[in-house]
Amino acid sequence: MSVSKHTMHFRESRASELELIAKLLNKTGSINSYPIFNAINQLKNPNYIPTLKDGSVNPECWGYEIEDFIIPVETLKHIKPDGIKNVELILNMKIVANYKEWKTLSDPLCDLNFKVVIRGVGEQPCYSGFHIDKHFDGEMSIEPHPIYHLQYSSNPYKEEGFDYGRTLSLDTPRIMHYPMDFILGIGFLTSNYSPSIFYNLLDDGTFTNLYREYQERIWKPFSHSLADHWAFNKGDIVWKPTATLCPYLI
Amino acid sequence: MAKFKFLYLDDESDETTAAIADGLKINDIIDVIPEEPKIFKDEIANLKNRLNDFDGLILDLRLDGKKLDIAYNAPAIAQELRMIAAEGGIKSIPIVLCSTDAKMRATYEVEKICHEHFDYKFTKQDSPPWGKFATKLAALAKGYQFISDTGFNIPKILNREDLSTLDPRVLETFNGIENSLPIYDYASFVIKDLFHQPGVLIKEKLLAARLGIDISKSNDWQKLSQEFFSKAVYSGVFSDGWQRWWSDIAINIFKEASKGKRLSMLNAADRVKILIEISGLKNLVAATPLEYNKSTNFWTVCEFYKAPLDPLEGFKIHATIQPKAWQEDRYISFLAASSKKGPKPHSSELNRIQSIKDELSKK
Repeated sequence: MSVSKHTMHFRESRASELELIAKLLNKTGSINSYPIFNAINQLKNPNYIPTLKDGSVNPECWGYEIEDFIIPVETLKHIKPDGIKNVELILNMKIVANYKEWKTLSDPLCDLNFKVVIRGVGEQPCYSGFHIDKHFDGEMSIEPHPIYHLQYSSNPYKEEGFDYGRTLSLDTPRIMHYPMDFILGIGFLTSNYSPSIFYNLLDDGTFTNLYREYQERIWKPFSHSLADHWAFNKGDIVWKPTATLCPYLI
Repeated sequence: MAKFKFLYLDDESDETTAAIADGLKINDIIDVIPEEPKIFKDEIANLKNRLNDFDGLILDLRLDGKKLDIAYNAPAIAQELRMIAAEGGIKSIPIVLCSTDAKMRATYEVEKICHEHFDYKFTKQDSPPWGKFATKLAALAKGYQFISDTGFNIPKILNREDLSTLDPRVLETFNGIENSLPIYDYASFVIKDLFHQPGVLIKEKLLAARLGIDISKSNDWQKLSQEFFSKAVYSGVFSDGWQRWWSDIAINIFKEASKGKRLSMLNAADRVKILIEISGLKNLVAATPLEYNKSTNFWTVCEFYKAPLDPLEGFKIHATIQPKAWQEDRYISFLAASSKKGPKPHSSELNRIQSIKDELSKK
């Protein structure tokens, strides 16, 4: 199974965008962008065809995996347990998408696994985390799942014998979310956990251009399709600007 | 095999220089010929004529000592020789700096000049580890020749075929160049960028920390590090003098053997439990944290105690030479920082150290 020239060309463009975001993140001075280079190599490597959840491969699909990408966490104002001074966020993710859907309004991704672990050390190492997943129709579950959902977990590594303290742990709601690649993820994670890095990035036109482009390619199809649930006229929309709805939608 | 011949310029008394020269000959792998420096112009002319017969040069930091009235010192001569070698005027050889500890204390100036012109530095201390110094000097001499023999081919220099999984910025200097760079640039890259700063290559104690192991209590450590992780052992240029492991290969060996488990997600006890299962080596003991620390999710070492440390519980150290974007930071523990032992913490860490101290004093 070989990847067409056209697909490779597309993949190389995505790789160069990841190179750009790696460079921008380095400039912040507090993030090591090395884990991104694995994804860049996968995109550039014609022998790498990402595997879909059902085990199949499609040479029209592009995608990448990023392992152990770390962002320092600044938002420690309400942290518990007391005594934790230093917290980091660890992202592990995988996306698969069909390049033919890049500029359409259909589902932009074939597969998404965006796992975040937040880790701090006080009297003992403490964790929390969440993931953003794509749910498959074929997957069995009792609860109805929004196709893209965000779900929290207090024991993200699923450690046996985990000390839950007085936290009552059970399945948390699967909150509907827009699909998220790495570039959208950077906006989401830094704005929530390291706002100074986010503002720093927002001051850089290279970042905002890139971020806007990915919002258009990956977020827009989701929001347009959702909005299409109800008939509406664009001219009737008065709830503006959209930044009042979400500060990291730019 | 013929011994590597080093010329040693020092203006100290004949007895002192002879003692150093003899010390370096301890394991009979290098030969050291001590000499008094001449005035700058004459010395350069002398070296241009004679260096082709040597495999390396050792320079005392201060050649302008009391004994001779010479108005220059080691960096000046090293810089001149590097330039002549780059132009092809003499053979490229390793240049090593030495001096008394007091003169060579890690001042900014010494760090910087050493970084710019020298391959290695050692101190004239009481009972010096001559064997270690000589091994490094021999590895340098051999390595300079080896770099040239490989035709300046990076995979051959590093003895690793697949470099595509490394951060591409690591080798950027050497990619797409039409003419090879001076040998010193390759040597300096390997020694200063790969050996001295953790990142692509890691030292034994850092490998042990990442594997969650207490070396002193683990009788099977040698077997584990050298045999089970043999594919991660660095075997490229200068590996006779510097023992290192490829960090990414070590991590992948663990991941593959454990069917997808990741070191970074496990604490020391779980890492060691899995290592015992996958390697079949029983005498491996998990490391415990330093005083004041709680986490065993070790990923670095305290630069003072050389003990495993979770970076979240550590403090970045102040570095004279700023690490490159693809290199890792180095840390000290609270135990070292609070008692002002070891390297200075980075200025951005001072508030956090103080706030932990304040909290402890309340208890």
